[in-house]
Amino acid sequence: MKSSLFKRVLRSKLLPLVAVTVVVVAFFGITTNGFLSASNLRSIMISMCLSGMIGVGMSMLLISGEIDLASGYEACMGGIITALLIKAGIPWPAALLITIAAGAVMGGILAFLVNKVGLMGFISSMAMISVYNGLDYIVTKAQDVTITAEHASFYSLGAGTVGFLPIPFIIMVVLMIIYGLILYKTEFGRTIYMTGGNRAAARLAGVNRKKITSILYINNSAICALAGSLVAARMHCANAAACTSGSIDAITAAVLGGVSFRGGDGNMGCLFIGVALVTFFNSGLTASGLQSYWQIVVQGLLLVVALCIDFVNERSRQKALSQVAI
Amino acid sequence: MKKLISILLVLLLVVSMCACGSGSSDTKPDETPTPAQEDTDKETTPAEDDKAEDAETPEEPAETPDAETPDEVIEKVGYYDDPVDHFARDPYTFCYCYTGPGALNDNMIDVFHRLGKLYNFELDEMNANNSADNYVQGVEVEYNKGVDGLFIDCDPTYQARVVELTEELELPYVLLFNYLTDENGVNLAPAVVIDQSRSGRDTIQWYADRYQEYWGDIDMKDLCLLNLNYSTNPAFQERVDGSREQFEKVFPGADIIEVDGVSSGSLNAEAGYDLTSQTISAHPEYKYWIIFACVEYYAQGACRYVETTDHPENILITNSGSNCLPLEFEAGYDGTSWKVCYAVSDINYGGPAAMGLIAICDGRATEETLWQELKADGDKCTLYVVDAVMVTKDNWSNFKDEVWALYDPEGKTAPAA
Repeated sequence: MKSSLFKRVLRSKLLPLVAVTVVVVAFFGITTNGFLSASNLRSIMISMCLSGMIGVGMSMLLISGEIDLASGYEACMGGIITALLIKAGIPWPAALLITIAAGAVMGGILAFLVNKVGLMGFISSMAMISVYNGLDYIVTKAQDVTITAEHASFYSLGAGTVGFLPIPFIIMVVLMIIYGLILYKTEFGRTIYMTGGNRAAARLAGVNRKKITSILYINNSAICALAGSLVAARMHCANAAACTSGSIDAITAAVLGGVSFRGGDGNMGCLFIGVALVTFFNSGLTASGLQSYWQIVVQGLLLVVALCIDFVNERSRQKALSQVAI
Repeated sequence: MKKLISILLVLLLVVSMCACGSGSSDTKPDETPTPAQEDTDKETTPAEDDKAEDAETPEEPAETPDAETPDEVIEKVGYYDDPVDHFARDPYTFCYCYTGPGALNDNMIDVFHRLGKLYNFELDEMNANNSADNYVQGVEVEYNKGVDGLFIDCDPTYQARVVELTEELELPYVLLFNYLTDENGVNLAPAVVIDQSRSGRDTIQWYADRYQEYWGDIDMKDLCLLNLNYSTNPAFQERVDGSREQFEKVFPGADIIEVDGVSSGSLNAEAGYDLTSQTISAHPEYKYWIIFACVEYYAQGACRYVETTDHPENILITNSGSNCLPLEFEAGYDGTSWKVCYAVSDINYGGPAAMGLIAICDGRATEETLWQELKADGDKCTLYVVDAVMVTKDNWSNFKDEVWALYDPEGKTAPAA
């Protein structure tokens, strides 16, 4: 039993990723002063939150073979809606719930475009980027929507801590655990893998792909709206540019963590490690004083390595499957 | 279902086109031409077809109410107090061409609309959506629409092409925010800009004059300047260069760290937060920090990080730009760390640009003779360097009013309170 568990761990995608993360942390910990200080670790945890939270919904979509490139813009919209509602005098818990509902509507629109109209998720979400970005600018007149100091309790949602842990980090981890359990322990989770792994087989098995992907789009946008609200809470304001890089960062972290871009593979543990690796890596590069243009090169190389690992893993998986079939 | 959606999309397209069409008429000022306009002598106000030819002869300025010697007239050309009856001609149509949406652009549109009512011009807008091709095409479209002149707010990387095209089309223009020089540093186009380097120098000097009030006497070895840069933008780089140079001068012995947001690719508060937290956490050896941000959102992100530290009073933040800090003060920020920013009122940009463009269209100046008393030796055209204010908790609410009063002393276009 122990031996089988050990073999599974050795074979899992998580192990090389954890090893790389440990190496990165150790390297910067040794070479960069203060990298492992409590304040830097807390900063890294906060920095993980936006891409981590968007990554939760995005990973579910990627596993199902779909994608939402507009996630960062949905987060911007979420932050703006929350800030406007709070400004209008609505208590922040209610504002947050309305924002999440608005996020669900955004996801519903995308689900409609993909599943009813028949557009590709990639294309329709690209189109929605423009729609949301334009709306953000129209609503805010390209200005900050500030959240005044009288709503300081809302600030703590973005910047408060419980013990050593920042609240947004706790929210992110809780989301990852919940969605990890959904993926791993529920029938719905298994159908997500099936939908992304082999659509034809899923259809033959009676899986309603449209229903599943609709749920995932709605779920993803709702999480994005929540993530945007947390950023607004942390920054005390919202604007049209606050989270725009969120989707790309989340996709990078998810793919780096081993969530397959082709669908059917990945989990929340991998996502967490992927997000942690990217954030530790970026933090270390900045702290080490490496010139920013080289940082871009190194970040790109890291992603290339991750994609190569993903490709090799996928090929060996396909090989193993074909051998079983034979 | 698909047919229904197709019909809906077509309807949406039609409605959008109608909305765009009506949008341009909305920009017209409320005022109708003044009676004086009916008496306008077309030869003395070359606003129409002969505008370009007249613009080539700036030495013969258009008649003004008080006929002065040419030299005296030239000295006054392109300012808010030009002795010209702006309503004695047909209204001009100017286009504000900008790279992509943003707070500053939105403010500039408001400023030009207000100025248009005061100085008799209508405003068209062209948003290039961050595409050089869109920008160049947009300029041609505006030319075909028959606009009289352009306010060019353009990315420096393709500004030369835009200016070249505008000159080919013989459209009067004034550059905003960015200037255009040749390889020898000769300024090639009239431009309204801030002194980028000075914004860095002045903000650092402001803290150099006051840091002892906040910190007392400190050992310079405990102090570090953190420059938050975005180096691919030359204007931002100049700001950071100015900050560094001044810091070296006034804080000898203190250290300097520069980090660059280019690697994150983002110009938002999140990136500012990350850059600041990563750097300050990695350098616990410094007790005191001065942070200079080349853009406001970086300062905002830095401020949010500093608020989470044990001693926010030991970190002073400043930046170039004035949209965010006044809003922070308005929202109740107490100014513990982010005390000051280098602010240019939007009217300080828009006013001279509008007055300059009107002067060119009137034929009272050309791009080369505009504001010539300010022209540096060797330059082909003038760089109009605008005044700035250090905005603090004490003056954030009214720093724009004084400048507006020059252009609109009676408050005709003041927004409702």
